[in-house]
Amino acid sequence: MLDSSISYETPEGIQIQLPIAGPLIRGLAWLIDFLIRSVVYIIAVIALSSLGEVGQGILLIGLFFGEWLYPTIFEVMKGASPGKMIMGLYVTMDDGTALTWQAGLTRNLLRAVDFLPFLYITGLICSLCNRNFQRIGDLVAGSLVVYKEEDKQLHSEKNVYKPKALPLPFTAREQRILLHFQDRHDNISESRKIELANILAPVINHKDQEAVDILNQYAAWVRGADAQEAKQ
Amino acid sequence: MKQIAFETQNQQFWQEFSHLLDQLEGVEIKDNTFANNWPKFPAHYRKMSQFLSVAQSRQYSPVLIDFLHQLVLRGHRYLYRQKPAMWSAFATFITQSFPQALRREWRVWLISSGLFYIPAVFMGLMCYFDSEFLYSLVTYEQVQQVEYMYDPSNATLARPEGRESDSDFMMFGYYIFNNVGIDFKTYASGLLLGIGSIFFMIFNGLHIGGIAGHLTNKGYIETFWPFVSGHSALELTAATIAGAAGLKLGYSLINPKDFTRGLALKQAGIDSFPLICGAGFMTFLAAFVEGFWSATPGIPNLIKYAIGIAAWLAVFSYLLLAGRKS
Repeated sequence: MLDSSISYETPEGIQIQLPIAGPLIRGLAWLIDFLIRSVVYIIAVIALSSLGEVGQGILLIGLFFGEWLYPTIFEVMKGASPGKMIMGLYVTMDDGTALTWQAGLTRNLLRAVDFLPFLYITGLICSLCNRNFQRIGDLVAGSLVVYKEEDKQLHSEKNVYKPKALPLPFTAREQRILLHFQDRHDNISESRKIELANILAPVINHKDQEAVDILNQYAAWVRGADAQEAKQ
Repeated sequence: MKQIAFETQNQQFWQEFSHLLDQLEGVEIKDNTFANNWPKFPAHYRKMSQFLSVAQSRQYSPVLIDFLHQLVLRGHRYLYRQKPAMWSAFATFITQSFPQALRREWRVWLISSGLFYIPAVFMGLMCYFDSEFLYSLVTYEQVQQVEYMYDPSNATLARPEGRESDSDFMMFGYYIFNNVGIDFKTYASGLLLGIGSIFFMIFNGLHIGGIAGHLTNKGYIETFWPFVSGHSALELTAATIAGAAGLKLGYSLINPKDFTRGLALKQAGIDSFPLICGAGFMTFLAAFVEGFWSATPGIPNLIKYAIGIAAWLAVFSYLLLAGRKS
């Protein structure tokens, strides 16, 4: 499959997939963080202006935290800075476990170099030069920015088709594609379904809507649906 | 086993596992079943891993596999998280790990100290004997400003005489923002094959030494030296440690030894981490001293010098002795 996921083998001996986020979406997340920080700074300047020099002192300390520690604190406590949360990203160790304080601090202190000479040019070049889109700070800290897995729910409304035995032996991979075709029925248009089913027309001897229906019946058979409960 | 039978048989377990994860991650409120369930989390997680690998090897549909994968991924992240007890980790870091790490990396620390102090002493002597020499490094306006700050005839404006406590706090904020920020930049720029750190160390050495020499030459001894003596130990030592951390990063790229450059860099990141954290912490303390003690008026210079010397002794005995086995 052509995507940017990397897989990592857990101690339990199974492969987990981490879908790596690319530079563009990370740039957008950074922009959101930048806007959030800017708004907070502006509010702080207005609110603290009445406090005179004490206010300026507080402002400078706040500026220090905002520039150096804001992403670390969010990434370690919540998994992602607000900008990344909005873009559906989070930061993780390269073995898929939660980000440690050490890695979180390292990757954010080294931002100073990734930013050089301006607007993360170094970080961009570095992330395009390795498979995992890691900027220099990520390489040193051993961290990855990945897409957050959606909160998937399992739908079990597969009993609508009457199971029909396959006309010829399908390989395991072909059976899997058949199941995927049925599972995606909510996400693809009717005409696309027909287009896909027609590819198999020479094999199954049906065309158009009939081909879609018969493929669904085969899928129901592969899935092991009960013929008694089926509706069509 | 067909997919539907597999789903119906195990679906309840999956839902319960998902619910337990929500509770562990703090997304959902822990109900009364939670106390019963969470000790079983590792076992349940391993069972989930098995479900996933069974589903994969039996070529069940990608939707089912994605669903199981997502639960396993969340479980993995939670089970293998590192959650140290923050305060005790911090105490161990200060009393043991930081000085130990610094002694382990004494070579880079020595080099970065040399890169800082040798230019500082050189520039200091040059500026002490030649009142014009500082202009080769610092602009005329900046020299004017520094001279103005420490001019003894300028009693009301000179910081050691008449600074209010409000402006003490402002300067404290400024020292944190500026000085700790310089430590971090020194560290990060070490990634540029060490060149950034070397530049920061030499430049800061020349700058600090030059100003000290120039003001001494001008005869502003009574205003300058008592002011800087208190925080100098923490601040200068921290600067050299931050430089050492940066050199460590840079050197791992130049000479990765038996590792690939990527792995060597990762290891250097782990090795230099205590140094930069310690340096940041020391500079943070130095900002306290500089903000609230160094400029306090009405304290005899002798006491300020005594405190300054005591601070140097304390900092070095801490760094060289703390965390050793007796």
